[in-house]
Amino acid sequence: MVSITLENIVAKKNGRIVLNNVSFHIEQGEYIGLLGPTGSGPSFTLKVIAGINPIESGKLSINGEDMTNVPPEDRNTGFIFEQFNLFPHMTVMDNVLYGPRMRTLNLDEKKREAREILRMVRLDGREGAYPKELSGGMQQRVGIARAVVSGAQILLLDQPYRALDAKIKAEMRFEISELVKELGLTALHSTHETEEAMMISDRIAIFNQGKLQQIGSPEDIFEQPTNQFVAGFLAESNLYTGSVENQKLEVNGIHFRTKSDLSGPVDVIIRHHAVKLSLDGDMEESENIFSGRITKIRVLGEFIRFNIKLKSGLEIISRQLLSLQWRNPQRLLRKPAFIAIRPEDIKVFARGKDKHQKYS
Amino acid sequence: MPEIVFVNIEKRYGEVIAVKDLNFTIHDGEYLGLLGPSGCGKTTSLRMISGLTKPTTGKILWNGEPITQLDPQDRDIGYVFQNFAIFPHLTIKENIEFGPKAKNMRPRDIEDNVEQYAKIVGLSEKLDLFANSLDAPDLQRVGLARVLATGAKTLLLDEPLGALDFKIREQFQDELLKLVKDLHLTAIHVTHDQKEAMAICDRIGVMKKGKMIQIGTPNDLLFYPTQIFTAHFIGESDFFEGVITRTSETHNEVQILSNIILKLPIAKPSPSLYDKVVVGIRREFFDLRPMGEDESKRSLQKNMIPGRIISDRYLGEKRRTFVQLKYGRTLEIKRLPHAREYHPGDQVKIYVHPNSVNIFNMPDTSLDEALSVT
Repeated sequence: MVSITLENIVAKKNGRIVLNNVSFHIEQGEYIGLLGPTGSGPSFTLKVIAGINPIESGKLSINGEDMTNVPPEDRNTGFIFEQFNLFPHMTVMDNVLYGPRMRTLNLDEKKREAREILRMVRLDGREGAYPKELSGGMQQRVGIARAVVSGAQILLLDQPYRALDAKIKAEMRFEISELVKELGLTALHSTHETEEAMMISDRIAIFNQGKLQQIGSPEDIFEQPTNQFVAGFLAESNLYTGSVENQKLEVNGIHFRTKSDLSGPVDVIIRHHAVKLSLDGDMEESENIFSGRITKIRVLGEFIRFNIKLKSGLEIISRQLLSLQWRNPQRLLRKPAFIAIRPEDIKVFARGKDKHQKYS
Repeated sequence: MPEIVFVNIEKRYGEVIAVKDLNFTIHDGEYLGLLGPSGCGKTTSLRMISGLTKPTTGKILWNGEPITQLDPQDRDIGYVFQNFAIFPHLTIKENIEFGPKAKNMRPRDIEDNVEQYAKIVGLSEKLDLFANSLDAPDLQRVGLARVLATGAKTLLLDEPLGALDFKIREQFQDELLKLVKDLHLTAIHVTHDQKEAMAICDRIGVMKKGKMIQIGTPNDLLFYPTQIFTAHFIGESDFFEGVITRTSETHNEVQILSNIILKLPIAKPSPSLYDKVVVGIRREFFDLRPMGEDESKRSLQKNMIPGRIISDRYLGEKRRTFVQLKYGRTLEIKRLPHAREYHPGDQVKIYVHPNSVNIFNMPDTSLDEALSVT
């Protein structure tokens, strides 16, 4: 198992800075999710580690060894692209043995190893199949087997689920991360989707505009975002401005209790899912309860979205997990309702501190 | 504000049937989504409305008039593509003019329309810019203006947001919906993204293998699926094969997982004793509770499935909990993010609320076949 360290990495693509002073350390056997908007850094981080994209300045180490100027083929990384990149005219076995064959390694021994790995990725018996005869998930497992047989100890997965149907994606999500653990690999996995990253990662690194914003366990970055960008990117949110003093926040004449120790003007983020909704006001919460009227309802699948206009005129969006009580929700349009927000769910940031990091 | 009716539409390419038995109505002023796995026939259906594809049999009525054999230019229908199909070396104005010019509209009307629709999509200030200087959302706005400037009151949208970044996509959804409603258009929107379809569409048609499985509002599809495939494809459900073991005036009982009895309200049409059925339950509706001290030794209560926690993952907006049932079956449950946390190995019971269950007839083929997305 290997560890990876990035120190002050700067990388450019077509003259534009795509990684701006990125530093972090990955422990042996960790599964790291890289999350951010398109072009913000996750994919470039993978390419820099693989050696596909050159490093302008900074240092990349693998197992403590400086790899900054080592060519890609000597880095023991396996790159799994969105499109899997299997050779369509080759069988599963030939695809898996492609690396060793190119390096003319001892093929008999490698064949034994390939069989063993194919068994681990549950493709035994399919050695003679062609990629087009396999499902998307199977093709991806062939890609992983090929990387491992070629000697990869680091797996780099660039949006591996992007091209897949939502249903198939849900089934595959665990497969890969479990497989990676079983095979003892260290993995980095780029994605745009919060849920995907939260589901698979030991830790998540979140990027914006080429800069690493925060790295931590899924729970940490979700509950304790260090800036406005992270808070807003991870979940759909209500955005307000207000001012805070002694943990009391004022937004448009409404007072909220918060856990913030800031004082003065602030930007406020309240995630849609954190706004609890009740028709009769019977709620567990004792603080931050307000009454209003439901002005818009949208059934979105696993969530139902309610727009609520509070008495003071403030508009707030509440998202409720699908449940029987919200069946036929259009009957609730224009009905009075109560909302409640836990103080720790009101994320407050000093105003203007990272204005340039707005995510929209 | 046209109404469009599909009557017994079938399209074959040689031996291959692209769509068949299509009978449905798109109401005047409606925003209809067509949703389904790739190859389900949604794009073929859209192309038949536009005239780009002609059906093999059946007819399409537009405000009561058959338009089945009309060519695209003879229909008052606008088609918006995923890849915009904008001329990069022309200005925005020239691109928008292209639509009405192709329809041989009077120069005066063309000018009026270009001005009007450029304003509606928010491009008035950018009319003289070249298209190759625009970002993706603006390119799609040009695509919309070009189609609307022809006077089309029916808008066909083929994955129109597919090329947009996901944050912008949500914003554009609202824009699109507002446009369609403000201008009283009838819109048909093809997408593979069910969240997008739900966010915009009044009703959604779920298709599979060339057939219309169910058309309904997002609420209908989620809470009242009439077909197994709807319950499976829209949102997330788990399914159990079962047998009706008791029927009465007030309720039915279904036996699943060999010895679990679910007491359920009478379904319509009501199944008969010993009928084989499929029970579908949404992953959000399972009610997970800790198993009491010596409860597991006692005989099982109705509507209660015992199990053991495999994992319980906090995902920010929700939690996903995996429960091992007897006979190796695993169940995935979605819960509120701050609901009680469980640990691997915890003994639990899952309560199935009688109203949370959808009962379906056992499919003629197999349950796997009914659930298959291809």
